[in-house]
Amino acid sequence: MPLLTRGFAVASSEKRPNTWLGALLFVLGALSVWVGSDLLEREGGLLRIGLVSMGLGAIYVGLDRTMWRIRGHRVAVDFWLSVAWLAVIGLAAVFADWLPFAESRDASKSFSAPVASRPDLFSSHPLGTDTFGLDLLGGVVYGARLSLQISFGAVIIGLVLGGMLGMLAGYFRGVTDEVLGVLTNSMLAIPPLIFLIALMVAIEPSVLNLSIALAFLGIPTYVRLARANTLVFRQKEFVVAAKSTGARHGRVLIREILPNVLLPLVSYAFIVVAVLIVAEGSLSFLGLSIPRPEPTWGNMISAGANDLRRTPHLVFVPGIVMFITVFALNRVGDHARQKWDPRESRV
Amino acid sequence: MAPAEPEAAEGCESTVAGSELNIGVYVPTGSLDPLRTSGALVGGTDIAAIYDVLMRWDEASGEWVPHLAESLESNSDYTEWTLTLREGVTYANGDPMLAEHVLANMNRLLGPGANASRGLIARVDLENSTVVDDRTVTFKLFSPWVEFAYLLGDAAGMVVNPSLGDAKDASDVSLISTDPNGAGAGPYLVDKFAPGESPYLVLKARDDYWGGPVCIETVNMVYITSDQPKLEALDLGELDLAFLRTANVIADARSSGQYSEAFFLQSAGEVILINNGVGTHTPVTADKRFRQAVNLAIDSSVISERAFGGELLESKAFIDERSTYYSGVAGTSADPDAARALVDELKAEGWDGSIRFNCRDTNANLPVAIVASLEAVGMTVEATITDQNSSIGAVIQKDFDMACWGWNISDSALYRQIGFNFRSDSPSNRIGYGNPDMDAAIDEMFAAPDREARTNAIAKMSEIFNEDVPSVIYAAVEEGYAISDRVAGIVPTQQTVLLLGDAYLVS
Amino acid sequence: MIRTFLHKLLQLVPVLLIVSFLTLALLELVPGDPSISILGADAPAAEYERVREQLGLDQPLLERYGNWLSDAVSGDLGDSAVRPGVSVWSLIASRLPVTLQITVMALGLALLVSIPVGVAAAARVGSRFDRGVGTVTSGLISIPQFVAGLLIVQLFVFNPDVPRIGTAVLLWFVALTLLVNWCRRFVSDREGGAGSVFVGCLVLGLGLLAFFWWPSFPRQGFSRLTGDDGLAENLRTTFLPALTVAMSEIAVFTRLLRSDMISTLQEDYILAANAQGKPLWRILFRDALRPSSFSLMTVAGVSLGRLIGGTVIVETIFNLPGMGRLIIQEGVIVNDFPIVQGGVLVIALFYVVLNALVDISYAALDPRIRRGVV
Repeated sequence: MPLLTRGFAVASSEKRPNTWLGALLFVLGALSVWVGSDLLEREGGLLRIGLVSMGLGAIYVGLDRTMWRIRGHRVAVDFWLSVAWLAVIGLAAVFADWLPFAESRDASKSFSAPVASRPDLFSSHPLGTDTFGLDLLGGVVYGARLSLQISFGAVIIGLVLGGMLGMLAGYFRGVTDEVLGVLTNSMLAIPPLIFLIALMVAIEPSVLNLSIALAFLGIPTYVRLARANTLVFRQKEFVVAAKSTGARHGRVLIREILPNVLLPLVSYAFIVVAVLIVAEGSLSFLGLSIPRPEPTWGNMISAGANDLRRTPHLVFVPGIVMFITVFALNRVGDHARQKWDPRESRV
Repeated sequence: MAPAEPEAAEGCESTVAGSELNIGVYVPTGSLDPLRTSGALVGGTDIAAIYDVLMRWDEASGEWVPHLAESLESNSDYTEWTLTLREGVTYANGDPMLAEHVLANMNRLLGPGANASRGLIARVDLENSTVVDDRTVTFKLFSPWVEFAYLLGDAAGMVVNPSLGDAKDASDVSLISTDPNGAGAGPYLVDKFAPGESPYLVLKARDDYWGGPVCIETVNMVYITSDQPKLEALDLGELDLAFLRTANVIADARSSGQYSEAFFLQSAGEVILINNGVGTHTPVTADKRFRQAVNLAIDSSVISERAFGGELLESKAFIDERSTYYSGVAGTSADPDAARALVDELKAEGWDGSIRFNCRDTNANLPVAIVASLEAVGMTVEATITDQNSSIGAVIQKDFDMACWGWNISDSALYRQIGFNFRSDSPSNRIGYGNPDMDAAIDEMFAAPDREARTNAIAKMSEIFNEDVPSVIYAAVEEGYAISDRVAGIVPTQQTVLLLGDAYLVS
Repeated sequence: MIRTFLHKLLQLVPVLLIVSFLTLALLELVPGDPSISILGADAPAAEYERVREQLGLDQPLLERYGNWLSDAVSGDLGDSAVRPGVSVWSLIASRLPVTLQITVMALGLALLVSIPVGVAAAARVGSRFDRGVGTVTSGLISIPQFVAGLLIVQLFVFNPDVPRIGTAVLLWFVALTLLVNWCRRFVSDREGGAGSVFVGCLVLGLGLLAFFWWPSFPRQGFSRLTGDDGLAENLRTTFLPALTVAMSEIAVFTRLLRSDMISTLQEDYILAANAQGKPLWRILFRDALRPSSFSLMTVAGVSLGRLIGGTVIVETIFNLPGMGRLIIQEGVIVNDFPIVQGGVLVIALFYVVLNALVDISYAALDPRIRRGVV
């Protein structure tokens, strides 16, 4: 295989497929997933997981090849699948209150529902119920809403505060930069997990408090990012031009620097949202996030982890949904950074 | 419950070199001084291994029998007790144990420290108790107490060598807290004590123990935070004994069939403690109707299903039916409709329906289940879930309405637990409960000459309890050890304490 | 250079002051107090007051901070509040090595895996292998550490055959690929490849080792290096926790190295070396790796500092006596203030010093930064 050529090689031995092998793979994969997840009611866990994974792999490869054949060029299937998933989750989270779920948040209303029942795709509890009889499908969607609220809240707070501070530090330099540098280093020097734990033990876990706590952790990174980008841009011609025509600092910052700093920051935001969703999960594991019965992915997983052997679905249902969402965010974030972060766009 | 091994069997001629016992405990103790240890679940087995006990509880016969003591006799009305020590018992540093040391030890326990025996020691007239000779001492009590032996089975029976007991270091810290070697007459010496490490305590067998050769050379006390990993470690052979308290984990251990057991039943193991009218509380909690409403709203089987995997020992009775002291008085069954009627009645009188509830965070599903049950009958519950210490703190500071609690009334410690929690003059009575009829019944229990009389007194207490509803009991708790087949000769005594002097490894 | 070094060192002081003060302030918010941990639940009310007074808990915040600070500056971190007589320093001294060992092992594992994989992915950009690596690394980042820990326990402790056979098969596959590659080159008469054979046989041997001598890992516990059982037992108890921590680091390092390598491989001197017919391995590892590894080393160094404070979760799952458990379970949860303050100070110190070292080494290695161009 030729490895190094100028403008580096895409594995050139691969050509556009001319058969419908892809479509066949797709169908076989779907069959495999269905057999593995639904038909095999017996406990053969490893076999079922194997079938489902192989099936998912076949679906992905099949879709990839099929789209390639149809469109004539390589389509970034993973990107589009991720976008589709995020759209579905996002819409479901927004319209959760209007969707016809069984009781999934108030344990005093679910006394009549079956407890810890397994997923059954065509019943009123498609993903099963937890130990309170609360519906898992609804739980996953409301959990999505909470997780996304907390993460986006944290990112927005962090972006605004951190971005502002970073721009100021990068633009004015001098004493401002020094002081902000010390503050940033202090915030980074506090061991993050310990800080979070201590904070959450002290204050009441609500969406706002969690957002602030998690934002606090990310601010130093935004500051550095914003500062680095500001340093690059403040030397560019259009900024120098603006200053030489007598524009005031504020105007220069807002009109010239901000738009250019914003894009890389926002592209980084996708990854940060993903990281924060995982962080909320860890906090739940330690018992410090929003308490049950209000569902978040994290507290659903940690509630289920106590009895993994008897009721594995309590961990896997929210766990898989969380995994796919975070994965999708990472993928989208990767592509976004490739497009918008000036330091990444070389590739 | 599988019976404990009889004391007589000897498993070895001398200490087996290289033999090791790994015990997974409930909570590690921070001190090795009986005065500064809560005892029982927290360090009880550790302390017993170092200091031994004068009397021990035999669960099979339901009686107290002498262990380090040779005999304990009383006069006809149980106000005077004569204790005789065995011949030739020495502390680990060679000093002989004398009868006067037992008296001195009781006095010592009146000092400040975590151990809570002083409430019961107050029943002993220490000034008029006399030392008859080197081996004999006579205790005088202020009032009749049939099971005085209980006191000598707990911290008061773990005699500390007086010449070392008061030694303190430069910063005024008790030395035997961390290095008790020489201060105890038990089968083991402390090789390493490092709280926070695992194992946090390493014990080495002593060669001049009064009970004969100590078979197992090394005992490692290990702390693993929750029950499920403890059982896993037991399954894998990393532990030989595992302390379990979680109902579904105990069920798993039992169903595997590989372990013998030393479990103890605690009546009123899971309780919703309700403030009867002390300190800071929502006024309605002092009203018996409110407490009855909570009682009727809580269905043990629902809590069991939702928070304990269905394995809870459901019980609303003061003394559980599985206890040997069950008097036939059952608890109040759940009746949500009646509960709602009471709540409506109270609301009509001006209560807005809101109430505070405090719970620890160890079982995330428990507070949810309780809150759900209460909200289903019309209450609005403001729940605060905190770590164990803060949750206990709220109760101690008498700033709570309802809290997750446990009275843990075991057959071997009826006096301690009932007396502490239900006597109107007890400082440990956190809820401000007081009923002269209950006090009289408790006194009757202390003076009851036999099991039947005791059970009658308990029947009276149960009925008063059901009538007054000072708090809501919803489960009994089993706690104790799952023991691997490799080990034999473990002798359990009261409150989950194990005596290790006769333990040996089955090869 | 000396100037920047001193500059960095001076920055240390205000940072540590701010961190330690913030810690104490935060602890003020944490509910509960140590007297309950010391006395249990059954002591009379007056006792709790007495203990609180003894511990100085009724003094104002600034005064307590001042007292602590004046002691800490001379190296005295005080005694534990809940366990009188036990010095905070001795606790830290016994826990810090555990955390350090896990962290260093995790980073070592991460580098061991990420360097070859990152280089290979960069060399075969756009290929199935590269896309596979991208997917797998995205997946690894998406798994929270506690889930990873539980899954690793389920696999390695309760189903040990799966990782045993899996690792063996993977290693044999890699060995096979290398050897086939060498055969191909031998047949088409190209230069080089002796390295391939050597590495291939080595990996084959490793695969055999994995298959026949797979160690059994304990569910929990920690055996000290200085303990009776020595290095083998110590590694047995630390491998799984280190692996859990390494999972996400592997992903981050691989991606970082890959993207840096890709841009380096486009440089002219690489093209020249290729045109000269230099063997692939030499180009990748001698010429391309060093300049690409700056970011990796920076991130690895910063990770070391960050991870020291972040091992709470693995310490909980695997019951390790490390700094995380010390500060949280024996500190924050039981309200033992001196332990928390001492522990956080030590971790912050580590982090700041490591950061400073990384910054300095970065400046030393890259002349462009040294001269303030970038």
